[in-house]
Amino acid sequence: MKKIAFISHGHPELSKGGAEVASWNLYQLLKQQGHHCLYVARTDGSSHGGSTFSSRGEEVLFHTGMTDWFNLSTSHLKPLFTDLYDLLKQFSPDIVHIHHYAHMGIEIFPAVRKALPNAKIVFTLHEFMAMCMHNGQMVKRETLKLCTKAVPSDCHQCFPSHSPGDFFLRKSYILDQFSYVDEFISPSEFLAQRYIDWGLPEDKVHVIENVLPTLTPANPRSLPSEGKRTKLAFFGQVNPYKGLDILLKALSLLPEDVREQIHLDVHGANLDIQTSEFKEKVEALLGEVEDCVDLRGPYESEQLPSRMAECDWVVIPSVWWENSPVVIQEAIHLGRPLIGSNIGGMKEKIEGIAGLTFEARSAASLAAAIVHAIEPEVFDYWYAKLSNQQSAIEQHLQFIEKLNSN
Amino acid sequence: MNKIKNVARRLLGKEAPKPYVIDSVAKTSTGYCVVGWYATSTVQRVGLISNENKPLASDVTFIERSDVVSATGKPATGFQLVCDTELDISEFQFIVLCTDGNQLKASLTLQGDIQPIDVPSIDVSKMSSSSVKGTLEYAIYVDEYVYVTGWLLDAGKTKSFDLNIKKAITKDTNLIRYTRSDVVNAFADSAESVNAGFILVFTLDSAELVPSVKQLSIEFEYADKLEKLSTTQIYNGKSDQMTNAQRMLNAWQAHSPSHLAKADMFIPMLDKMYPGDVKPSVRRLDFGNAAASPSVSMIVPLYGRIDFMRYQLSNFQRFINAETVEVIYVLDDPKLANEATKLAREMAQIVSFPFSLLILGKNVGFGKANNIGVEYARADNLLLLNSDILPKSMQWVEKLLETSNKPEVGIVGARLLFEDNTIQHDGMAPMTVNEYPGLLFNDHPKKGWPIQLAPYTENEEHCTLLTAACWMVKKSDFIAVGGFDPMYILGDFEDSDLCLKIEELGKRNMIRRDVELYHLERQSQNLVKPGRWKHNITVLNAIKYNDKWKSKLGDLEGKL
Repeated sequence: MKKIAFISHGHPELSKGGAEVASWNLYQLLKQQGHHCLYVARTDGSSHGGSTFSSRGEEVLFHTGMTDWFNLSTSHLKPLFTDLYDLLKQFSPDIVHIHHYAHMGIEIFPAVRKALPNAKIVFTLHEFMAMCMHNGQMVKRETLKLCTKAVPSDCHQCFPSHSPGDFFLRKSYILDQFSYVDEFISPSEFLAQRYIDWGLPEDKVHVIENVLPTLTPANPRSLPSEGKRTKLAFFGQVNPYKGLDILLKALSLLPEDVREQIHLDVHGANLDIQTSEFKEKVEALLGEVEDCVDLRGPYESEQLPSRMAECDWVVIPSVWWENSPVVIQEAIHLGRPLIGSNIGGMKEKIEGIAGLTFEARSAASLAAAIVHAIEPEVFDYWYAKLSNQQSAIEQHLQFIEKLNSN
Repeated sequence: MNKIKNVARRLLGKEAPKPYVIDSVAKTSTGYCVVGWYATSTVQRVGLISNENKPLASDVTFIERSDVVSATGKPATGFQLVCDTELDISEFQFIVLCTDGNQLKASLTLQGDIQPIDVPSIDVSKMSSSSVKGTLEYAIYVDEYVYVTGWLLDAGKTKSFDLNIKKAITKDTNLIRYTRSDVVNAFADSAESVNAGFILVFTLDSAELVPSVKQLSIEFEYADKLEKLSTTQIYNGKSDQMTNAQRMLNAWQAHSPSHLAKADMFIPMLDKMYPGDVKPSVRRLDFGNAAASPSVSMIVPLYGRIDFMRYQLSNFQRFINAETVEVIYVLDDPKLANEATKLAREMAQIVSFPFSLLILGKNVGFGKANNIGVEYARADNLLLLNSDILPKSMQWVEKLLETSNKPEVGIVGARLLFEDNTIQHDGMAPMTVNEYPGLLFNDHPKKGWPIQLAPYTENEEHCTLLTAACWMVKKSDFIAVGGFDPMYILGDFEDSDLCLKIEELGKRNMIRRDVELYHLERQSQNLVKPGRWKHNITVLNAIKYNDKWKSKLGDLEGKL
């Protein structure tokens, strides 16, 4: 059994992002397997007596911050190079599983290396933050056009106050800090390839899907005779990248006879904190399709199985690439096929595996996919294909096994 | 008087803090980008407005500024204004519309630019005499030299002026008369406004008299009468060299042959303002465990932007053998001493690569900063490197060293690239510029070319002129020629000057084209567009350089 330290940029009970949840699930899994694990989660705010650490149950809360969001760097070096250093030295893990550098600083890699010259440092990639300053979305600022390659002169177009040379330096500095990582994990081939093209060494990048807690598949919704698979659900944040507006538009484009039967549940939050322009757009679209849409609001993870069981299809219409959205894995494990955009991580995880894809950002294409999806035989075909086997668990365990042996 | 007003205002608490802060102003390819924040409670809107009061269309992006909110405890909104315009930055202003209806305006300055100096505007009330209109705007003195400038509505006819200082004897007078558009605009109906501008440099027999003078006058004859113009704006050229160099050179139109012919009138003054033998104080800070006996001493001057140190040290940590190379940063920018020390301390935690930081007590310019750095070098080979350079090739130090170790070799340069893998430097060559007949400048052939269009056959090749952005040279050779010549003001030509000096020792300078480094060259001054003081300094340095190396450069140009 091994000693493994997890470092996450947030505690999932305090901040429910994909990366936090993924690190938490892996931590729980490895703990159950008998590994000696320590979970360190960065948190906001000051702690008792100004100490760098406090606790939440068994987990350590790490009070620090990032000062330079351009270089993803921090000038709070004491928390990293003195405090975390001492803590890790004391715990002396064989493996440090880092799930993010955000809010702590990219210097976390040299800091961990300095503390533990012989431990294996594993870093899980979750989005494109290192290569794209636009929240790691690889989507152009303002126009939200898809971006395929981070080129300094293009990045300068998105952020005119930073010169192309600055973006060149940013990348150079980040790659320097990544050089302390022994192995990278990417939950999708797509994300892995983007990072390899950008400059990560190919032999160090491994594609392993995020693990999930065990979920019991739900039976298909029982249909009345002649009934169709018309209940759709959207799970996720309501923001410009998640494409709810495309989905609402698609509903308004459905042929009248389909439209009459369709129902969409929106399980998500945060429309209220979006820019007024986006809010107005979504509200106007909602007005057009209010007869067939319910806003169900945010949900806790315990509520997910029952909410998902209500629907036939889960729709993921994101306009950005996505990496490996947890909702896709959840839908697969809970027995619900998906309709997703045909780009990036969604294409990789859905096409030919778990449902239908449509031309990303095209409401007409999504409408056509919905017309197709409501046919019971289409649903049955994809439902039968879904597999609740978590090969990711086995892969993660093997990966940990092999790590220190070579 | 202003001081008293300010103190009074502060005591009375009348001066409210500005409800906004501009963090940065940058030039984009099509206009400008202004980033900052404002207090949400006091400010309604921000924007840009031309000097003619026409609003400029700009895209506004709002940015969450929790840093400001936590620092000020008040709600604040961050903004980014992106404006496409052909206007110069001096032709528009930042405008703030307050919630109480008030408007605030502020001039903008590009990051890294110098604040524009106050150029007096035409003020008819200040005219000294009823028979002739004119103004003596200001004077600058440097030891025995006195520079004065102004305008006189006499169509440029007056050619003889006397400086009126008690006991002072004028040994020499130099004059330029030229047309000033502001005077022509102010007196559009007067034929006398042509050639109204004057620039005068007087050489006195004594350096003692001027500093005590409160008012300075010049006398001249106009319409058979003795006339006088006076000013109380008298600057000591040695006290804020850069602003005074600006004051002195902004009006000089170097591209005009008659002005160019008068270049010599400025050189002695500037030489005294920027003396070559200045010895600044040096404070040395060492970080990490220095190599016992390095074979290369790397000298990196820092000026303006110190953050380059972060990227370089992080790179050196990965790619350079700390046993072979010692790194010496030379901070030639005293106002950044605290910031540089802080960053150096941070970097010493992030990297284990040892380095030293020399903090100069005075800004001395690129050449002298390097000369000082060399005094601290312990190795036999020097590697002079600009701070905005990052290596692309592995083993780059070893390759440069391999060539530098050959006894017949002088300086070894490298191929420098822009961040998009086009050529920035592939050796330099003398070049003529149409505006300045007879002067040779340094050209960078193939600049901007994709590297695949510039193949090479030999890894090392003879090349006389190399940019000092990246050089390896034996310390003994560098010292034998006396290092960089300090006569060039603010850094121009001293690298090609030193290249020529090294070849005069009988050595050959080489370029290693298989050594590639990225050079994120800062927007260099455009040699063809005249009017800026810095550009004028380049021209003055070019004159010095050409005077010194005329025949050698002619040979080189002939060979190309």
